[in-house]
Amino acid sequence: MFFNSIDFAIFLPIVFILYWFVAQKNLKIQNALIVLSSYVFYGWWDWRFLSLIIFSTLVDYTIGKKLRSIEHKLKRNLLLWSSIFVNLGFLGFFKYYNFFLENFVDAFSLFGLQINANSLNIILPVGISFYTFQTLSYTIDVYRKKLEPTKDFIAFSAFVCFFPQLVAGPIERATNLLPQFYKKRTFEYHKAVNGMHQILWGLFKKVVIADNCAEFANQIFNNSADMNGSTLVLGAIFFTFQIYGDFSGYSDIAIGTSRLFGFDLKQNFATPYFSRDIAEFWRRWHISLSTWFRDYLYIPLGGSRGGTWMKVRNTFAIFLVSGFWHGANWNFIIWGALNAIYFLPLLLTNNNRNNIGVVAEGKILPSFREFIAMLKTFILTVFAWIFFRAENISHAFSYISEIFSMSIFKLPLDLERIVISKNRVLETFFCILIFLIIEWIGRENKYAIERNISRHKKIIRFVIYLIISLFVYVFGNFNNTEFIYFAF
Amino acid sequence: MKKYILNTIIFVLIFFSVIFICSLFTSQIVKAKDFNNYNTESNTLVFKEKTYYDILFMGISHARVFSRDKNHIRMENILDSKIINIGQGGGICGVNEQLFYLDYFFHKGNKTAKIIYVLSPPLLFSETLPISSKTFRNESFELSFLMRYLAFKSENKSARIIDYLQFKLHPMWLMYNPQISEGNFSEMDSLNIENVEKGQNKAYSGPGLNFKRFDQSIEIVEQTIRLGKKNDSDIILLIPPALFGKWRGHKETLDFAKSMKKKYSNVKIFDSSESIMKPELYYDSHHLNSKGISFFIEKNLKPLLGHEQ
Repeated sequence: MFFNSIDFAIFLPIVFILYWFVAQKNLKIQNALIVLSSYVFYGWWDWRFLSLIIFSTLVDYTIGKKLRSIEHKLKRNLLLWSSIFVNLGFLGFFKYYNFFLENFVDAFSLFGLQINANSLNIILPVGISFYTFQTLSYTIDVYRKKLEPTKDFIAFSAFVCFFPQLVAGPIERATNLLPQFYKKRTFEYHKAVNGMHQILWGLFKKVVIADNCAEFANQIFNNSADMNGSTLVLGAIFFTFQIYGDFSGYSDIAIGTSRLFGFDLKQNFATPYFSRDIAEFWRRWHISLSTWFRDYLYIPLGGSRGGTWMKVRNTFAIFLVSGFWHGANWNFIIWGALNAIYFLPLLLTNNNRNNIGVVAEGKILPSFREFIAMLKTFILTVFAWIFFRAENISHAFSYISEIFSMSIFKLPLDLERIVISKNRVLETFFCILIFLIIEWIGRENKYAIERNISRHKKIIRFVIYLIISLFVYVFGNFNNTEFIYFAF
Repeated sequence: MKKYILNTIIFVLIFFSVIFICSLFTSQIVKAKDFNNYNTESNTLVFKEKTYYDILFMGISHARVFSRDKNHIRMENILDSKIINIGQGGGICGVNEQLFYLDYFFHKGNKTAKIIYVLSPPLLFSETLPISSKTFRNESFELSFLMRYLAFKSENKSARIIDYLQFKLHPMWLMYNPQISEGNFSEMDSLNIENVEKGQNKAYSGPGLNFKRFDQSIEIVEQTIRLGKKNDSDIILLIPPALFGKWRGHKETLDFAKSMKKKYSNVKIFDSSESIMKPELYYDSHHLNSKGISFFIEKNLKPLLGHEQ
């Protein structure tokens, strides 16, 4: 079930009413309703893969309970590795089996050895990368004794499968989300209204920005061999806004929906395209994944404490794994490596924490220096996204080589050849401009329209919401329902 | 909680009221422009109520081309008949929505003596036409049209309805103006077989023929014939001319047409696929130019209809 579907528009009010009117008095029933509705939400896509979630839930719940009573280090290690083996085993099989198989076959063929191995027709279960990391965080935190293992199986199940963030995050930590399932939730008017605002803003990002940009980005990337350099640059820019609108839009809808049910999820994006360097970008982009890797991979590897070699090794490790997490394809790994290359000079020169706060805080416009820094970071990001979006490495390289050819000086008139009207392109740029202005004004908030509207009188707020809703209605592209990150 | 639900309901009601009122308003503005069958492909902008026509054309672009570029006026003059064309070009309409348009035409109390169903083979095999969401983009907002379509069984219906409603508030809708072309007189020099093959692959969504889709389509065409019969209209199933002659799937289309002729007394068929082989009468390999339309009507359609009458 997609957030921008009619199914979800019917599903959400039903669950909301049952949650607050029928199950309100009993916390266990409320949690059970969340589990049930989350299974319906997930099963809507493919009910067969519910068994994976249920199995993962059972394994981590049981291991968590065992870890409570066992102090013996070796046994604790064994339990932890069992959880890692099961969870990453599923992820590895469904997501990476064919990738490893094909690469082994290719590697052997380099030495003249022919291996007959047939790849399997495996369907990737939606959201497996997300809920796997979420359950792993529970077991690791229990193992590290940062978290008391739960005795409440229903609450734990709800934590694993909580429908707003089940399929595309934010990847919640057990330390943040699980305790919220133990506490009685009471309906808070302002929290729910705030949730609705964030849902509205998420929808704007998804259907107005991401899905309109997707139409052009797909056409340009799919026909890149016939396009000139300037059109390809446009394609990369469209994809840059597509992926941000798509993923951060999903996160906003997820966080807003959670708020309707009395939950607080962590912020996942903080206006990353206004970052002044790549280090800042990675503190603002997909925060829940970056911090996950930081806490469960980077720091255990030694973080940035060791010598230069260790810093280089750990930085590459985290970025390459992050790239590989996004997809079983070499172009994702190159994308990760490229970001590591961007990041390393900042780390090695101790400049990676220069830009911690919000850019131009308290000011209307950035300084010229800040603007140039933001522009430079944006260009580097756009360039890296080409690897992310390309079908494979050779596609990415041919795309880039055309950009750096003389054809970049031609006008991007190829668009008309692939049935994209100039008006549609201009309309989408207009929407992007409006979006950037609103994001800039609201860059100090958790989401762009969080506080800027709430300080106005009720009637003005009402009109503003109506205008945003109408904007979504008129300029939204409702044909492309899928979210990019469902595939990860 | 009550306050929250009440506010949400009020907001939703106001939101939809604004959409409803604005859609009516913008549609009235567009309707006030001088739209005729020859200068728009929208049907609601030209449909009248309780009007009698001698001939109704339906199908895809091969039907619509009889009206585009003022060909409609030429056709009415040659045939000395009152004609309406509900065919839809631009790859946005399949057999099912053509059935809906015909149903809506009759629903408005209109009548037609003859229906010429231009049965282009790709219409019956295409996978893309039945799912196009842009079918009703240029239709004006009419509650009866919307309600009737809501009750109509169709593929990709919700996307089509969303696009229809959404476009009524789009600035481009207000800028929708009558086409001003006086005729399409561009001519083909010769036939490029490679391009024809490419074009056919595009029209059929691949190199083969989709018989599952064909079976679904002919069932709907038969429903259309029954609807025509119910409304006392005779039906001519016309396979249109093409410079390359027969389309892929021509035999299946003709066999189906013959079976309909056998089954229904009000059905006649006319296979004109190879009737015009002169490039100068086409603007592309399967669309007649204005000269070609006049020629076809004069030489083929007029005798056919005369014979019928």
